[in-house]
Amino acid sequence: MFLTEEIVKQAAEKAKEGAPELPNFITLLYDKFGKVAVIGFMHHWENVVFSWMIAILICVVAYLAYRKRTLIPGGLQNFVELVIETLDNFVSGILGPAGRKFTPFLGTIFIYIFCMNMFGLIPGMKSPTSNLNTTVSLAVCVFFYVQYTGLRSLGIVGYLAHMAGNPRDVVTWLLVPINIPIHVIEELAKPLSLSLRLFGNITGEDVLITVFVGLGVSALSFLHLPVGLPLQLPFIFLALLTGTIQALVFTLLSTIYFSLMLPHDEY
Amino acid sequence: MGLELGQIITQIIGFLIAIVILKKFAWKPLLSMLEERRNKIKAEFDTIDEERRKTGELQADYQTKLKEIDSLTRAKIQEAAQEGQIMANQIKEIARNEAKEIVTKAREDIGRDVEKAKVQLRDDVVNMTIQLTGKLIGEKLDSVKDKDLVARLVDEMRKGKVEGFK
Repeated sequence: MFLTEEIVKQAAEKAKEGAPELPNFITLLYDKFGKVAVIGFMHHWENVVFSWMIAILICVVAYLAYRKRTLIPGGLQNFVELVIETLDNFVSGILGPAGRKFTPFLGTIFIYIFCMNMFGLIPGMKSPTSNLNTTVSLAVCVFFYVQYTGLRSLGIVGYLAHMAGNPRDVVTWLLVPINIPIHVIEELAKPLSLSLRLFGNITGEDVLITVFVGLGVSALSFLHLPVGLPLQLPFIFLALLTGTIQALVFTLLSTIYFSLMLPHDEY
Repeated sequence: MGLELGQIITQIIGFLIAIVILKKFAWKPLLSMLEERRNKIKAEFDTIDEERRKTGELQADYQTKLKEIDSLTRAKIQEAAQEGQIMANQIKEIARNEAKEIVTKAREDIGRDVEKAKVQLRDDVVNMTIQLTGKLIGEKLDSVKDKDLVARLVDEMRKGKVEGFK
């Protein structure tokens, strides 16, 4: 009873602020012990707290798989190896065998985003990717790593030539003043599109679930029951699908950005 | 929805730490283990292929040897059969010769015995005739003459010169 009323109340309050979202354990703690400094800090940094929780969780799982690793895998190591090999094949399938060195970065991005997307489906938790700060930070990492890779593999002259559209003749040299701003805008648009797409999709599905939770509770409010109708259930399955797709899209686009920046004859 | 630089930097730090830890504990060791396992499986498959090839070669070798042994055995049997045939023929020939010799010898013996018997018979007949004639005519003939006479008679009788005596 307390939980459902609290959910509706929280959702309504959030709706007033912006996108409605289900309360998580930090917001519930904040409502009860808002004056405690630590709780206030956690509430202010709740996306960071959830992100770090997920990062620690992933690291612990990886460590457990690493600690008792054997040549004949079993249980957890089998699962982790399956994930790792799939991602390695995915990355090397796009970038070629020489692109395997980017697998740790791109693979971690996928696992991290996937877990963050799924985390919001656990009651009392939140998807940090429904916050723009999280998605921007990931997109910024991709942006800088792509530019660094371009500078390192092409050299400064090659990188500038790439930004200028690799001019070879008079016409392409004449187009350089147009190509450079276009390329700069294109490069800057990449992290923007990455972050906004992920943020928009995850926020959208979270809002949808929140709205249908509220609707389910409201539908049975005349009976004064402690539970509501689970109207959000179909959208949880939808969120499982879109959360996976969005993690895959982010990783795929990041991989393509690397592919576009690397010398094409090599990769 | 507002962007906060502090949160973005903290998120970046968290993500980078996660990458470093995962690189150390997941990506590098597990990918190298996958590679090691891939190489090991490949090496084992190569070994199995090599063993299979060797086994095939060995089997072919055995088959050839078996065929050789088989043909050798057949040749030996044939040779033995031929030798047996030759020996049998020799034995037969020897037996035939021995039989011929025995028969010839027997015939010669028989001939000799017959001749001896004939001579004995003639002598007996002569003696009997003399004795008989002596008794009939009551006179003793000269033994030498008589014998000669009787012997001549017997010879004529044998040659069929005397009528009704053959």
